[in-house]
Amino acid sequence: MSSWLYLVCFSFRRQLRPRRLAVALLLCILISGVVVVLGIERSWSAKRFIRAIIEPPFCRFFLPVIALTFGTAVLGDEREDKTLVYLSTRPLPRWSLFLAKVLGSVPLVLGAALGTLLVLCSTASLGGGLPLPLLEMVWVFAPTVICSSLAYLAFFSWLGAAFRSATLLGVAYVFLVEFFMGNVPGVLKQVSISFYLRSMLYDAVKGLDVEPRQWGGGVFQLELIEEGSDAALVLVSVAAGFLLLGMYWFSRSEYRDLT
Amino acid sequence: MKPVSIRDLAKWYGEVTGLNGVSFDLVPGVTGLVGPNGAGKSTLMKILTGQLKPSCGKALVFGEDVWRSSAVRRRVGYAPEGDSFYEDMSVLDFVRAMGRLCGLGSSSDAFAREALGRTGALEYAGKRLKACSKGMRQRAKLAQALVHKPDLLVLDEPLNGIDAGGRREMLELFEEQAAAGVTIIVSSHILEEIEAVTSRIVFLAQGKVIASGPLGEVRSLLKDHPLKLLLSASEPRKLGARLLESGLVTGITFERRGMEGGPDDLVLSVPQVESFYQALPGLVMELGIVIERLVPLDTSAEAVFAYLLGEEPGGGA
Repeated sequence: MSSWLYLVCFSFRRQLRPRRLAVALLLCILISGVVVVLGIERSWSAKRFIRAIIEPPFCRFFLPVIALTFGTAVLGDEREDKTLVYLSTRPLPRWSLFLAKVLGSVPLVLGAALGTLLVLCSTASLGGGLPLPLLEMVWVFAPTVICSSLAYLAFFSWLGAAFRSATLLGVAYVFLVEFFMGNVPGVLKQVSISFYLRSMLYDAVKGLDVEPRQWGGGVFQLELIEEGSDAALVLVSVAAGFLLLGMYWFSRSEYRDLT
Repeated sequence: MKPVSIRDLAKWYGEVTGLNGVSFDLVPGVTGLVGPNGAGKSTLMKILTGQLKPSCGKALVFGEDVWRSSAVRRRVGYAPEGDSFYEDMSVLDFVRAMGRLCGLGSSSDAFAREALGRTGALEYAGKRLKACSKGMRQRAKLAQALVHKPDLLVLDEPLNGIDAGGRREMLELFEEQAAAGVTIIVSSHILEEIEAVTSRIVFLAQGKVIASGPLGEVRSLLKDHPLKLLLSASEPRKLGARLLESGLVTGITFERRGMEGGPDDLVLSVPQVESFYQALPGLVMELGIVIERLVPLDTSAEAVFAYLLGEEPGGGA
């Protein structure tokens, strides 16, 4: 057990690569910049802040991109650097290697997601207009951010275990499934994580009287899941499901490119 | 129970055969796994360390299927062939981390220093791996294989990139480990390298074991193998004619040497090498010629494999 826990810490340290952290920081600065610019034009309201910042750029762009960056690197780095051989020849069950690698990435993904959320809320509240104190505002969004980050991370980690060119596939997935299919009317949107993310988000902000934007003057009616807890359950299930799938996949797969 | 027992082992990569019906046992001590590039040595080693799953047959390590049982890997140390590392780690951090992952806990530091000491890498323990030379990296790789004191050491081309002095040290280390009861399998494509530490050799070619056992037995297979020698002499034609006449050689070809008009080199097919070497000085004295060079052309592992496979060195079957 101690060697497995050590692997979790080892994986966490391996993920602390300057390039990856720079991506997170750059995206955080970019979205914060948008908050500043739009805040100069007009002070923020809850509705405007959620519709213009929290939902599209943060939840539907930042979160999947950060999860993609760290998730595909869970095994991608080891495969690229050909160091997976050192882990796979240790006396640890193969499934536990995958689990440890993913768990080692969780603090970074959640840290980047919640940290950026805090920065965005702080920046928006500087100009006033947000209906709740800073930490309460963060608290409203935090469950959605945590659940969806974990779902994205588990999915991209599995993608990294299953495919060598996982980053490219991940980018394609984000644009095709999360952006495009997530906005398609009908049941198709339900295959995207962003659908459950938005369901949870807009349920959480019901008290602030904010509803999702309806595109095309309501022609494209976006129907979300009524209960945020149901959406949360789906997201947690997606996270657990892909984690288990990744563990199974990794334990059954041979990686001929280890060395 | 034998440390390693391999029976009818085969591994296919799609339509490509990596290993084909390989069977042998390993006993404590050093066993050399010799074969040309692409013979299947690394595939076999990857199966023995649980990285690859056999397509059919069995590879048991201490009686267990190493692909399924992670616990048995505690008893296996592996140094891969590839030159890949966690580059930003120091040598000591790397070996210590590998020890921790083998369950050494807080004692991993002492174990890591001991392993580095054994491989002669302790003096640069604090150096980052990316700043290390090939030889240093090979020693670090060996140290991580030794750190948890395994009962089976699987070493894939461990002497690549190590200088002559370093090789001697490494070979001494293998002998020391073997004397302590460790089972070691060392792969190489250079027969001489392996001969220095063991007389037990497994020859692998095209995914098959083509010969195995004590080197003496394998050598006896080679007794009738005509050796090719390159000979440079002051009067090559005169010497060639005499050698053919005496029956010491069964064939001669001439190879153009250097400048136009100069004497040619002789390439001799020698059926009985020992008799040839015994008779040659007398012939040279008798003819009063000078021998400038006498080089065996086909004692390399590749030539031996070619012979064992029933092929002529250089390609033709």
